[in-house]
Amino acid sequence: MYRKISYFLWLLLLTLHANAQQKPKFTISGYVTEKGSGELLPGASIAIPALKTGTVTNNYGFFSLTVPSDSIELLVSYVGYAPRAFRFLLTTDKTLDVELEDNKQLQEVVISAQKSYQKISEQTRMSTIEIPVHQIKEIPALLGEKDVLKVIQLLPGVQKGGEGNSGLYVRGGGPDQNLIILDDATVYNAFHLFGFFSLFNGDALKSVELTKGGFPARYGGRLSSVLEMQMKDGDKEEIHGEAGIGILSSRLVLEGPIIKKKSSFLVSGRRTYFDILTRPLMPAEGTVGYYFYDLNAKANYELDEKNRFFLSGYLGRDRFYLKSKDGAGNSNNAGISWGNATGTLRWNHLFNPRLFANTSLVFSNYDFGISAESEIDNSKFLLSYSSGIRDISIKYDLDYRPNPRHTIRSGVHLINHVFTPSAIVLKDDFSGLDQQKKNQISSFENAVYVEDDLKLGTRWKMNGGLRLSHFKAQTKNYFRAEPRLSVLYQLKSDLAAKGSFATMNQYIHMISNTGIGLPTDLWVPSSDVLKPQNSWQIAGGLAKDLVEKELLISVEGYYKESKNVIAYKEGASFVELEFDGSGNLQDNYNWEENITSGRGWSYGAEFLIQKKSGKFSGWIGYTLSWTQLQFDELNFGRKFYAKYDRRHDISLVGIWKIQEMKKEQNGVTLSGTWVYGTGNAITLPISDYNAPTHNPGRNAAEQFYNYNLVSQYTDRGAFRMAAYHRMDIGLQVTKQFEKYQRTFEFSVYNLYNRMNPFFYYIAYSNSFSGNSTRVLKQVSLFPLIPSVSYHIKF
Amino acid sequence: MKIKLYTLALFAWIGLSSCEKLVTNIDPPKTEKKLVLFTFLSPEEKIRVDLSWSRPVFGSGSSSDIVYEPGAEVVLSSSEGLVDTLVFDEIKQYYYSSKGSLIKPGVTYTVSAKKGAVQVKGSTTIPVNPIPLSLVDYQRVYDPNSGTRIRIKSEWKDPGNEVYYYRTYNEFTFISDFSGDTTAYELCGKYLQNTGKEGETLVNTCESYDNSWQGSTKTWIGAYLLTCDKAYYEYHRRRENYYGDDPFSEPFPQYSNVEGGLGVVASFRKSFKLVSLQ
Repeated sequence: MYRKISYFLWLLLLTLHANAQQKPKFTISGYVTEKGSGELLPGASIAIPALKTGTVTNNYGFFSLTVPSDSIELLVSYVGYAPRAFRFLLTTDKTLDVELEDNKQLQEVVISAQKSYQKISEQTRMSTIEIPVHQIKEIPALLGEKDVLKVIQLLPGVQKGGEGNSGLYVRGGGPDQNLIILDDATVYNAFHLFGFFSLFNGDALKSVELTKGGFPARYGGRLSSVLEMQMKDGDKEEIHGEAGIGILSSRLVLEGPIIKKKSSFLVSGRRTYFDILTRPLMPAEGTVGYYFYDLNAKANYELDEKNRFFLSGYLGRDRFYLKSKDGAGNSNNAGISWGNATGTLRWNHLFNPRLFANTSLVFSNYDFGISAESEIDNSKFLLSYSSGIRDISIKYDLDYRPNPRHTIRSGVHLINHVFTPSAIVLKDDFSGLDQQKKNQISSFENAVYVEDDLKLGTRWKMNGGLRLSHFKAQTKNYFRAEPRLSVLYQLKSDLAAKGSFATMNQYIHMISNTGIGLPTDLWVPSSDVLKPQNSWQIAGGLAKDLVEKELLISVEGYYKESKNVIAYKEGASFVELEFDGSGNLQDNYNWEENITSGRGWSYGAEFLIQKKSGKFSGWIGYTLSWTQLQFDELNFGRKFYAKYDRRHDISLVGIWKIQEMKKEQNGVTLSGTWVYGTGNAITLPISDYNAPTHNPGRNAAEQFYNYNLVSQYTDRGAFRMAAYHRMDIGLQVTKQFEKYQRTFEFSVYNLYNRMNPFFYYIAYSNSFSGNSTRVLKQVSLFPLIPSVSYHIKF
Repeated sequence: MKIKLYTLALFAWIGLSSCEKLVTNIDPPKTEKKLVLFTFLSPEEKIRVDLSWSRPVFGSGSSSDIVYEPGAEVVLSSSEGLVDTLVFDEIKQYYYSSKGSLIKPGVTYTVSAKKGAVQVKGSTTIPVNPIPLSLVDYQRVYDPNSGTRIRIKSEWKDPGNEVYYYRTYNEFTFISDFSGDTTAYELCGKYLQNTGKEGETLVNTCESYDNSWQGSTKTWIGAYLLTCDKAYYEYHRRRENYYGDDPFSEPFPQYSNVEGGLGVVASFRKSFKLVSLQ
């Protein structure tokens, strides 16, 4: 099947390519940047209406368009920026670097009738949503902490795990099935504070795009989604900065030129200060504290017209600690710490106006550590446990645009994963124990791909491709072919029907039995026993643009089947440090024995109306979906609804610019969100009874039985928690001063104080007669929470 | 020392800022109390049927006391009809057959219990042959931190023509030098099946603390090999790994093959080997 599809695709590509080569043409190429800062703009639209052709800039702001020699009128547009038109006679290859001006800077300028709008009905890709970063900053958030992942959760097809949780559940997939990429680097644990906040605060980001299906061949390694984020490059003209003070944290962004117009930098930092504020309240003999921080940095250098270099990195860490000391000098220190570090060195090289290359050298590390240290009567005890994953990878991607009908991309990705499921150090002066054990697994994940974005006649467009992936696990090599296809048929100039098919493989797995983004979640590789996860997905839908209203409407249906998805076996618990009966640390945590593989089915429909810019912007999203799982070793082999199976999911997001900011006038923006989701499917005990074990030994004559109380449960996932709904509002008041701009932001999380369930537990209720009965209680995390924050921009 | 302790501390810390309330906007899952029937039938043992009641979680209190049902009609039958009507032992609190051992290899038995309008039943087919242990051996291992441990190895030949379920069970047996009484207590054992090893010689080892000196110079390892039906294997495997409702682990539903109620009707054959401890 795969072979036939691949053969067909190649034949089609070769035929079309040959036809397209018949006429001599010239190439217009260049970069689209933001005027003033020189920031490269990915996804900007370049169109030649007379020829009914066009293209978009790639991730590095580069475009290339090869057209016949003629008098050309070329339009360049990008959401939130004033479009520009160029007229010239094309008689030779032409380099055209375009600067677009941010609409905010054009306060008195009346923007022409030409809308700065990229039509969804012309994009071959489906199941892809791009969120303008300025919208992320305007949407109200818990404690004022702007959070990309929380905004992504508001999109159709994406569900959140629970109250406050930043984890993403895309089209029925688990949170480990999302490929989260920051400047080409994979981020493994994208959460702070046990999932309540994500690593990405938006200040340092340039673009955010989520792909839920119809994956192009350049993406791979996860089953459910790709969330690609790019950091800003930094202003090449002037030094600028932003600073913010909130209830939970403060942050600072600084950007500016290193060499004017050639090189720039950006540095962004954020830190919480809960631990600092509470320190004076702690008793002298002991302290408890928690903090997290993020640090983003990026620099770029334009060597010449053909070569650009980018160096970017992220460093973030959470730390929870307990310290105590008594008057006799005895001390106890314990802590949990986890964090990510990524680094990316990229080289953009232009071979010729039609062929662009990017080479990335990427480092990514996630580690989790726990330590306990004590000193009692001069006897020291130390126990430390750590786990993590470290990647070093090379990516080489080519972007070839031979003519307007083809955009061909191909590349090679090589990744070396080093997993550390457990590393333990134990030293005890008292017992003389001194043990160090480290369990590491090295694996290689590789892929090659080719894809073509091609136009077939005036109505058909297609993105077809093939990805060949490989994973080396212990003694086994896994090879997989992953055909991808997206098709568009233009019904009208602003209405298109779309369809897609994609297969995906996932070679690394996250073991988690909480689903709430705890740092104890463990990444492990496929092995000889544990097979790669695999899925295929088909999707179909309609996309409609209302150009004058700058609205896009999308309706999609999807069906996805997954194999070898993993789950904890029944009764299996967290990662535990266990000693054997001899008091020795166990060699390692045997994760393979605690997990089981099964199948998954997800299907549903998604509806989206989105308005990305204008006085009133936002979106309405609705998802109707079903997600079921089946494991031979769970629920007695019967199918069950996944914990995050959500029949209905609604999100309303509105951003209303009540008053534009002018020299003598405050800018006022009111924003609000409302979300509704069917409750999670959970398992509850319904009765208990005494159950024996049979003793077959010497006392069998009396058949002595060991009795214990056990629970009878509902079928797995058969009980629904109460529905989740919440409204948040925010008000931003911005004023421009001579040298800086300041913004006060007031927001209210959970405006009508809905007590949404975080989890349920069984408690006792005492009656007047003294009898106690068992009842179901819920724990809610966040009531109505007002917050205020202050930002300046200079 | 477990990570769980730290995680619990963290959750407790988070919990300080949370709020809780009685769930009133949805109904907790409801169930009626059910008859719970347990029996493990074998030609090698006397017939015993335990009958009690389950307690619905919501709306009742919690207690570890067993709510026995002494007044039910408990019947053992086979395809040939009624085998026996069992009687309740008021002291031992279970039903037994006054006719002694009636269980025959290869026969399918049904055990049913009726109390008023409530009726439950379950069936099991007795394994035909006990499979003998071909070898039982032991080894003592000394560790300076924890003292002496005993490692026991059992071997037997799997017949291989179908799925077989096994249980190994080893106990320490001694005759007291003071009283002359014989006593036994469990050392270790495992549950396993022959999948992937059909027809092979199966080897099982287990380990336990060695407390073999119990004021006795006459000590043995009593090694048992049970050839079980699937119900016996599935029920015990889950039951032995059940550690209560741990909020950080996946729920562990218990196996039941009793229609209309809970519990299990299972069967086994048993072989035995006694090894003298030096």
